[in-house]
Amino acid sequence: MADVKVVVPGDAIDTHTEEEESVLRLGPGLIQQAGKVNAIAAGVLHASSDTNHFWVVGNRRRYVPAEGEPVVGVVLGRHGEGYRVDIGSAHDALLPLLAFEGATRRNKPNLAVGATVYARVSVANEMMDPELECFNSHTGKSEGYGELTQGFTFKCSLGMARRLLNAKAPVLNALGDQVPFEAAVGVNGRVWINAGAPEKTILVVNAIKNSEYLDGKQSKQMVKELLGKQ
Amino acid sequence: MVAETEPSNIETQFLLEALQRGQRTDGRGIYDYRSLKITGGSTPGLVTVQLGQTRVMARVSCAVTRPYPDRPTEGIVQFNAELSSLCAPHVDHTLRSQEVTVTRMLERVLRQSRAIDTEALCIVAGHKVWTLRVDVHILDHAGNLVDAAAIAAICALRRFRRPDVTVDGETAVIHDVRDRNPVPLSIHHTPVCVSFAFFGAGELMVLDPSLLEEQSRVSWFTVTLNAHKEVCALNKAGGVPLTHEQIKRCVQIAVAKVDEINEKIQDAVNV
Repeated sequence: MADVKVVVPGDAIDTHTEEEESVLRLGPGLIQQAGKVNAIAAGVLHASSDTNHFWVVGNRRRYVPAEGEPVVGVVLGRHGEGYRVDIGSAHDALLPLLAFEGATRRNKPNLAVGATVYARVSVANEMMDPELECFNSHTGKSEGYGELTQGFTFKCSLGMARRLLNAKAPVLNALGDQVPFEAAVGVNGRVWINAGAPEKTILVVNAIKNSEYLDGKQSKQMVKELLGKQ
Repeated sequence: MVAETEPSNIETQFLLEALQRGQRTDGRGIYDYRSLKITGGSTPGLVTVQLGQTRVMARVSCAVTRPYPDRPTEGIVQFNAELSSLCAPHVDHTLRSQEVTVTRMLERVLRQSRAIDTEALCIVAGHKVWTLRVDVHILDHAGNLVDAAAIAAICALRRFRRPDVTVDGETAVIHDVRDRNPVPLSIHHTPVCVSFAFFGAGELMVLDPSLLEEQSRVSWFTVTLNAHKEVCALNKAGGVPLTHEQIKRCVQIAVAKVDEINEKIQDAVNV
């Protein structure tokens, strides 16, 4: 891999290529100002030469909602025809009462204040409050979304949450080999874990928290040591 | 959303369930302190304390002022704690209650326990005294601000050096720090706070609560003592009542813990 280029907001980016005529695609973290390309996010600059695509991969903890993403939220209250849910973004999200599997006018869900839900962002733009749904609106099935009972939730950085969403995440696999557990990962940096007994859940939660700055091999080693102490 | 949010139901439920089995959510034992790190800053009188993820910075400064009319031979010590929005997502700059709690605790722990010799701060009785200002900034709020702030404040006071003064009758000459070495403050003893949180009906107890534990607690109790194992203050403000056995037990635990904390403080101030 070529040398890693770390950029900070304000850096000018060199997007010079051999084919002058091709369209330049700017991904997250870059904007075009007066004919020049500048970085507006801190992170590592990635470039894909064949599609002429540039973007910045950075890590942060504040979530900006985007459509289609799975999130873990906490119900703040009932608001008319829906629930107000805190997903860690600047504005609370709205979860309509009918956005659940099998919900009808007669059969509505009953979530308590403080309940935790796993939902999908259905509407997210800068002009409206974000909206969630707890089912797949095309099939009508819950597909894993809905209320989360039991277990424990914790917060992590957004980059960590995305790594955990990968089914091959080393720390989750290393843990799963020894300790059976369920997990719901929200890209808003919140993760729900249920491993049955509290000791096991605490173990899994702390192992995942510890693996933030470790690579695959180190994660496996860390999990081995943690489980060895039990 | 940036507002005072309470923890979710499963978090509080899980916390209680785990505590009933003697476990804490971060894997600590019930009587375990988080790792404590004290670092001095570039100027004497500036100290940063890290207790787990909680980070607090204390800064001591001084100025010459008139004394209070009813206390002409004593200097003045002022405490000020600040929580800015950067320390935790739910902190709003208009939420003053946490700042007041920390400031009051510092006043009790350091001023009312007579840890600082205020008479030594007098320059010319009735006219000129030193006013010390201890500013505590909370940089990261991960629970137990009081203990961290108290350690930061006392370390900053012990590391602080004030300008030297020569008094000739009614006139005083304050020497510039470049001409004469600044002198330390006169501190009688080093008080340390040890905080406990209670859960359930008051029967479950932890030491050094994390943020989640602080948000779910039903009662809160702080023991302040110094290195000589003298109890300087006991503080319980509201919450579920505690029995005297529980209070005694807390004091015993605090006595056991104060040695470790004091060792770290000594390392930081004897530089």
